[in-house]
Amino acid sequence: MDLGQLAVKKAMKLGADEAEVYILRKKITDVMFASEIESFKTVDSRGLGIRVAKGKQIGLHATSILTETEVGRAVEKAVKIAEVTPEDPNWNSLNDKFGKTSVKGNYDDSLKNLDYDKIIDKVIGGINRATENGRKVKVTRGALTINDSEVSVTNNYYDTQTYYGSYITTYMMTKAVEGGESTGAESLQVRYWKDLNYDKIADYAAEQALMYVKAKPIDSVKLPVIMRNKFSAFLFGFMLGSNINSENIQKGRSTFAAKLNTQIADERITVIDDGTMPNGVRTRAFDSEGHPTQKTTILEKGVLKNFIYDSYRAKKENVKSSGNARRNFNTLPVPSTNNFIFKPGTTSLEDMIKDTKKGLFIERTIGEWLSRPSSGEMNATVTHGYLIENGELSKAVKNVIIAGNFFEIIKDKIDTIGSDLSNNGHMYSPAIKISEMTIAGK
Amino acid sequence: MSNFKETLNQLEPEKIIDKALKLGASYADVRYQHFSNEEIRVENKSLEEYKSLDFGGLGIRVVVNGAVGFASTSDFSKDSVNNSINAALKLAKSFESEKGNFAETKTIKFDEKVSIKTDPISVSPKEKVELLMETNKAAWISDQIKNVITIMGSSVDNRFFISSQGTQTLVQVPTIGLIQIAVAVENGKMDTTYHGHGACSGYEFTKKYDWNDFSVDLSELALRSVKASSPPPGTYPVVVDPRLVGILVHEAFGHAAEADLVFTGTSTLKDRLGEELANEQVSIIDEGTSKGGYYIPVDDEGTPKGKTVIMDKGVLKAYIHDRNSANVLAVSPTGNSRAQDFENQPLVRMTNTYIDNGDYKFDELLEGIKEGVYIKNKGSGGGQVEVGMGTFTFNGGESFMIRNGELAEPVRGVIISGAILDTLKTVDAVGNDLKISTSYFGGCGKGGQAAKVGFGGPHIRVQEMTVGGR
Repeated sequence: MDLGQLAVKKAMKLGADEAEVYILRKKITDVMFASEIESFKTVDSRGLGIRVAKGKQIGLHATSILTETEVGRAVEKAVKIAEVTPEDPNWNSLNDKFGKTSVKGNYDDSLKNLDYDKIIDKVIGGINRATENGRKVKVTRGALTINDSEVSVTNNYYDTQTYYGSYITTYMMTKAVEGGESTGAESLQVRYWKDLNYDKIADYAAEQALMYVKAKPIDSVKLPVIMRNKFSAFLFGFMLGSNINSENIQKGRSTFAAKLNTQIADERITVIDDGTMPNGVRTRAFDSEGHPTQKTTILEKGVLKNFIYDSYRAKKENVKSSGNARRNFNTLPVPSTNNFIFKPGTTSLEDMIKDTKKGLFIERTIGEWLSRPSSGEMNATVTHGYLIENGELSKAVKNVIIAGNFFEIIKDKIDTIGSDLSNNGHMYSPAIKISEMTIAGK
Repeated sequence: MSNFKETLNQLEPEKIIDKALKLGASYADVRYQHFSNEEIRVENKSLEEYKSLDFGGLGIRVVVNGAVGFASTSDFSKDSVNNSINAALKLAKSFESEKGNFAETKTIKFDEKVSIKTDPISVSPKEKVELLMETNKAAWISDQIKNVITIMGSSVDNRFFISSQGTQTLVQVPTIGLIQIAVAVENGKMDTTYHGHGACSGYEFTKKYDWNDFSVDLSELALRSVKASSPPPGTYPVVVDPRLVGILVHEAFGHAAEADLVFTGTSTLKDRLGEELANEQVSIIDEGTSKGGYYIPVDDEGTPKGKTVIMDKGVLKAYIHDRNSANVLAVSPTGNSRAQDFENQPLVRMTNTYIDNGDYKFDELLEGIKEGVYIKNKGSGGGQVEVGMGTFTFNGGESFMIRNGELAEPVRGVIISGAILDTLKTVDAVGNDLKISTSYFGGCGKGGQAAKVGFGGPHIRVQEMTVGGR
């Protein structure tokens, strides 16, 4: 009997009616660097969360110590919590559909044989690359993190299910050493060590710092805006992802419930949530409750088609889970997007810029996550933008605030959808041109 | 989880240090941590979540030839601990570096905790759920209130540190906090407001507030806010309230004073020591133990954290340091080496950072402003800074236009943005109502690590701030 099954058995013995155990074992290898390697670490991270139901009373306890004694204590604690909490009238049952979807490209076997030296060589290669070709920049901060994870889910209805996943993330930040306070940055998230291309990252981060040494705010104005793919991936993924999340819909934090099967967006927009996409950074055989993952159409030619669910929220509405439960070992599962993909169009970024008489190209912002999905209010402070004049990038722009309403934008203000699909974490999008946004500047 | 000191004794941290030294380390330290917490969330008058956590483990840091290697585990078996020691050494030997050259510090023995009257975890779950239910129920003062979330969190953080240089510290810090989020809707417009209180305290903290009033007050703010409109975008003189000043000085200035960011060239404060960067009314302090703040008597390298004057009367006086950065500048470490937890290495971090008191009364700050904005934190929050460029952006909460030296109509959705050094220069008046706070909720993020901090300040006036609306 494995640890998960032991814990479930103990919970049932202590009087729980249902029990579920989630175990995460993760090996993290992490290098932090600036113009040289600063630190190097390895973490053997582990955690177990046990959720129990006694009738409709729910409790959760978690621990990072995976000995039988400690897990036994954790189970006792979870049951004790469940015994004293008020009933959840909406509770139906734990996930009662376990299973695995066949998925590809989510685990890199080669990590097992990856020496520390090879990791260091790769990072140093990236640092050196940034300053090649006489570029007047300095690498100011960066990190490479390799996660090698094993996730197991067990509940009282099913035996333990396990999947493995690798996830490699890196970022590099640079600064121009003369001409002005200007920075550059680039990041990448991949599944495979071989896909980690430091030359590309270093080139982008270094060139960006050089491009913006003369950046200045512009006057307050309304302009068309082109968002770089990684920026639109985050912003559109965040704004749309929140609104199609069943948790937000059921709680009145999204107004989308009444809009199902209606045209809420431009008919050129199609968005899918796909837990099965080959090499996708959130591809997995089953979700955090053991439910198989799937591909769910969210927007089809601008028509709102589906929402995302875990089993609790699905049962509340008497529909099926979409395999979107996500949790850490110490939290309850909540619905969360898997690979969230805004389908690309056919226009290259180059042509989008060429076709713009006057506008703002936005590469990077801060504070974009302070936008409010429920009301659609979208804001960001542009740190790296370029004024477009007569089809060409003309002046570097920084320190202006952009604002617009997401619902209006996807319906009436989409000018062009680019072809250059890229990902920002698990959110995928091409560059997008919006016909008008408000810009607060000087 | 088992008793902290019992587990610690079984781990025999001195032997871990000895072993690391025998295997070739010139320095080694061990951190053992046990963090436990509990979070209860009530939404729309029903209990949504009741969860708790025991998070414990150890981190081993070694220096070989000036390079730092680090490994951590929460598996305390002999094999696993040995694997971690070996891994830390192997990592340190795999690259060249001088980050492991540390400034001298005094060897200290330190064992202290924040005393509390009532451990929140020992209070009956029923009592805690009832408090949250009552607070949540009080918020429903109008049909226009559509969603109310109330969350209470509490934790106890035990941190043990021992180094091969003989320093040994043990610190126990409790935190608690209660926050509420209220959503109001009117004519299809929706506004979300947020507020909360917190402290390094036990459950007795909850008796200090009238949570009914707190709840009603936040809902009233949500109702006012949803009716208000945004200020026209542009540049204004603004008056900023203590909480937002605290966040601003932490994010927009404090990070730039972190010595590691100065050395890498990230910070706009590089090579600026001794320069006058702000009006002489502005002094900025980082202090380990200050009233209302988080309790950090000693950092995660065993260095006592006293009071660091970063800016004195407008002049940049010091950076904040860990032992390595202090060594580079040949100064004393300031006790600012802090790790999120045992799985992370310490970084240069702030503790309680604030603008010190000035002379102005609130009304005097408004004087002379023809058209401006009074920006409060209450009702909102959140912000971000690009340290390399010195650009910051923050969400304001409840805000008011200032017209002819007086507060006028409320405005909503205020977003401020600016460049740190430019903005500091236009701070022309500092109030005398310093307030510092901390909470279970929130904190500071750097290099992927979160840390508990305190922030604050008095009201200040800034002559030029970019203001955008939603």
